[in-house]
Amino acid sequence: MTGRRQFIKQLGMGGMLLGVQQYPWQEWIAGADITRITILHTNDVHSRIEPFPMDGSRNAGLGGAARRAALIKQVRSEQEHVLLFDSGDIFQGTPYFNFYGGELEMKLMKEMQYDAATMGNHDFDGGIEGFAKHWPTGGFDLLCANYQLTNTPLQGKAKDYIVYKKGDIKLGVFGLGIELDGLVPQALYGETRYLDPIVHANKIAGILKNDEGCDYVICLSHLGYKYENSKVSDLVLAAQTKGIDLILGGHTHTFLKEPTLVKGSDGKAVVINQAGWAGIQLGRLDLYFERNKKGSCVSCKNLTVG
Amino acid sequence: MNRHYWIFILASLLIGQSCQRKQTYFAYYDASVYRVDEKLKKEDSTTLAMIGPYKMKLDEQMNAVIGQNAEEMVKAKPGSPLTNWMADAMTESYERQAREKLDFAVANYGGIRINAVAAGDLTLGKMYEIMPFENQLVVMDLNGVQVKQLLDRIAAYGGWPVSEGLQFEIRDSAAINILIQGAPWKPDGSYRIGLPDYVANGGDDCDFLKPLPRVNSGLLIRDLLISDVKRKKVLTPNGQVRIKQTQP
Repeated sequence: MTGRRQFIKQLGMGGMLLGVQQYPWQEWIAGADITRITILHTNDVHSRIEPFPMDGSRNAGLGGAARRAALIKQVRSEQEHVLLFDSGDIFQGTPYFNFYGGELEMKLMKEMQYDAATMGNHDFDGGIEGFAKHWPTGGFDLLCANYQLTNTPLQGKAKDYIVYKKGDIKLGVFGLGIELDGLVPQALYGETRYLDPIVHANKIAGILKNDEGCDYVICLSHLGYKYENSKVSDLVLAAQTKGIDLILGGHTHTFLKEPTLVKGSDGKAVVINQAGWAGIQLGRLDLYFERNKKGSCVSCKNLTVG
Repeated sequence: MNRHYWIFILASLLIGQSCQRKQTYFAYYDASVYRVDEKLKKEDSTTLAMIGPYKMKLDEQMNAVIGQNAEEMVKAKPGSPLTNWMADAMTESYERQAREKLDFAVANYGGIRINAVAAGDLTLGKMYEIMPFENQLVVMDLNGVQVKQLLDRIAAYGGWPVSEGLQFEIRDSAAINILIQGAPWKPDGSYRIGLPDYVANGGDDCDFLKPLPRVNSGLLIRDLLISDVKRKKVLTPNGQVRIKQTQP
């Protein structure tokens, strides 16, 4: 017993002598390996290709695709496992959209290598045909679990969910959109049908956790962070579903200093984040996963829901 | 016997250990946020090169001068030269293109996306700043009671852009002393009005309009504003008071 303690102490000392204090020795001794997956995310970029003009207004000089692309490429050069997501309203807000219909937005998303996005209400502004025309250029997966797209140009193209394997970790990602009636003229969304987001989130999260064997489930949501009335928001979604670990939201252009934690219907913590709008911010979450044979987790920290 | 027992325990423990599959746990996360501002010195050159040709073509069109503005027009509640111009331009351009009269037009206050239009050149780009969204004008025939409901909503908001054909006073967040085309409002009257599809579809708490019949003009509000500037060549601010806030 003392022999083992001594051994650990020496290892620790060795580590310090080598200047590798950060190494998770505890996990190493437990035979655990740690995988870090870096999630980058945007929402409501609204065709903000160039930074806001320097006109003295509140957002002057902020945003811009070229700066965001430089940041993303920097992170990719530093991290092995990176996933980049957008939570909708890619389109509408500058003349770039009015003139080119979303062509440039998609080209730039391809250059930044977005992995997946969900659709926002303004992504229908050029008609669902307009989105379907330009989206293939973007090279990312389109995730819409609660829009029934039968008889639309996106039928068979948008998916309910996708599973990404990074190292030994499986991440399931799905998308949820907002009720279009009242926000978007019917002529633009055509035969798209909005389905209950709570029901479909529970269904898809269940499939991802139980059938697909995902270690972590992410929801790209364009429902909005919070409402005064009973409308379904990310806060409501988190509280009334189980199986979702992280919600990356949009629609309400919400700037959060840090992610919000909400108790899911099974009592487990759900993390909610949103990155403002117009590409003013790029959100980042580094997820750490531990793998071992011990039957319990060494480095896990409890997420306390306040 | 006793010894064999211990060997058995030890062996099964060892086998158990090595055959046990690795399990995955989500351990913890770190959250951070990048602010995309001028402190980030680096701009991606590939991205800039991709934007270049699009920007050049766009700037060329957006910088085109389509008319002049004689004096600065500001956006304010309950009404101002800018809100007056928007509602009047919607009405006049629609009437010319559709060849039919409207009793009045309204737009939601948030439908004007700029706080002031400076005196001087009016570029096409300025029209996109005023109205970036692709909203179209919708025409509805409302009865007097429905009109009152809409005006009460506008009163509760403290005033929206309204055209020359409409005047009223706000008292206790309700519309009173309503004049339409110069005549007092009648509960059993019938009124033809123009409004953005956003409002007709229930936006800004106008849910009651949603089930009512309407005609989509197919004319974008921005295009109605552009044709007004092109027709008048010079805009002169109209400060007429159409909505008056009165003390109870």
